[in-house]
Amino acid sequence: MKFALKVYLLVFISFFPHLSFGQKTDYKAVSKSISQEYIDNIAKASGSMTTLQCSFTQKKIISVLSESIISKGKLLYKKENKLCWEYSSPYLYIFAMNGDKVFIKNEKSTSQFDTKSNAVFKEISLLLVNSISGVGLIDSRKFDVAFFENGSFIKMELTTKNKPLKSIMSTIILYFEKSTYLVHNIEMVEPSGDTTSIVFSDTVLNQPIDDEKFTVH
Amino acid sequence: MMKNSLFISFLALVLSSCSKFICVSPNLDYKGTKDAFPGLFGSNSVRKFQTTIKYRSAEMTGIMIVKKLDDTHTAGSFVNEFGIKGFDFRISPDRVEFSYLINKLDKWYIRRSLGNDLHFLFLRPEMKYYCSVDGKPAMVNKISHSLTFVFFISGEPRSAKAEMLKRNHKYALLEQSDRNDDMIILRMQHVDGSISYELNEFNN
Repeated sequence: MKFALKVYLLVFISFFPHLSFGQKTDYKAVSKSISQEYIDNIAKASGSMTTLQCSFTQKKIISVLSESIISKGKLLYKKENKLCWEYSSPYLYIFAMNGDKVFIKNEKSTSQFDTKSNAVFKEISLLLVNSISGVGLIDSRKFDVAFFENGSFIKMELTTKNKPLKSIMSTIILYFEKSTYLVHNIEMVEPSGDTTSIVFSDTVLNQPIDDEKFTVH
Repeated sequence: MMKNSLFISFLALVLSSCSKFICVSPNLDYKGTKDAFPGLFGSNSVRKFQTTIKYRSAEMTGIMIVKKLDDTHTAGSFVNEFGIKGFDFRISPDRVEFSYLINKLDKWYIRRSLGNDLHFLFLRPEMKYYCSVDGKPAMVNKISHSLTFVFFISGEPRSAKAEMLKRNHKYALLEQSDRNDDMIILRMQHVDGSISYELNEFNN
């Protein structure tokens, strides 16, 4: 169970509710002042967002087997604290958060947790809110943050400093579109060399989403 | 009198700790198909399973991927739905090795227990002869002094059962079955009910 919780934590640490498309070549480091400008703009773009809907494709590469696992699904977010991360392939799996409640559903069962009475979920909740504000990840106590750019995209590279986190995830990389300051894809690199990339698509911003969508039955 | 009692007690202790002879009337001229206990791989060298591991009231879900390396070796990984890895393992006929285990699981007793369970789940020894166990034909595979796997020969190509024995006591039960779409389901449970595994294969 702790393993599962840790994973949720990691996912939300790396989650930014803004989307775009990014290229991964020809990046160069940017100055401190430009980095700060990017941080401000990312927070601003996040601040103007009330809802988000998109699809995602996740690819996990298992280096030791030279194999990969592809998962697909949809993501819903509604300010301030409603989130639904739904995998539809290879099988149904939903992680939803609605205020103080967290729901986990698979094909056989649904579990519900209260973030008020569960310290781990409370932490997840706080991290999520921080991430949504656009400044949560840029925390020098937890990560070394470095910005890179090319013509169209900003690459934010977060190197884990926190020891427990470091044993699971060495680097988290987010790619932002320069024109919108929204995230297109996330890459998570594990110490073993395995990578997980999540690419977002079909993004719809600031359209009404029924609150009921964030409660799983 | 005292010496005799001690000697009898010692003898009883020695006899009770000796391995019980499991394999009754081994048939060395086994003429059945080589895979009388259904193999794992067949034409596929990789299988991916939706996996649920339950330990008492806790539950861990994710994806188990196993790959045939050669005739006697299998490797695998377990990752959760978000892609975070739990462990990497490699199975040979007589042992399981973990090349990676997430910190929270990296305890000697978890390594041992999980290793035995994965060995039992994914080891498919070559069927050269069979024995009679509880009156049923079975392949007996002695892994170590205390650990034995018994694969029953059911004659059913789409389902099979096996038992893990520790010091000759039933420790865990395994069922392998095929769904109609040729996908495999594996269910394994410790006899005391403390740990269970359910693996449902999927296409990816």
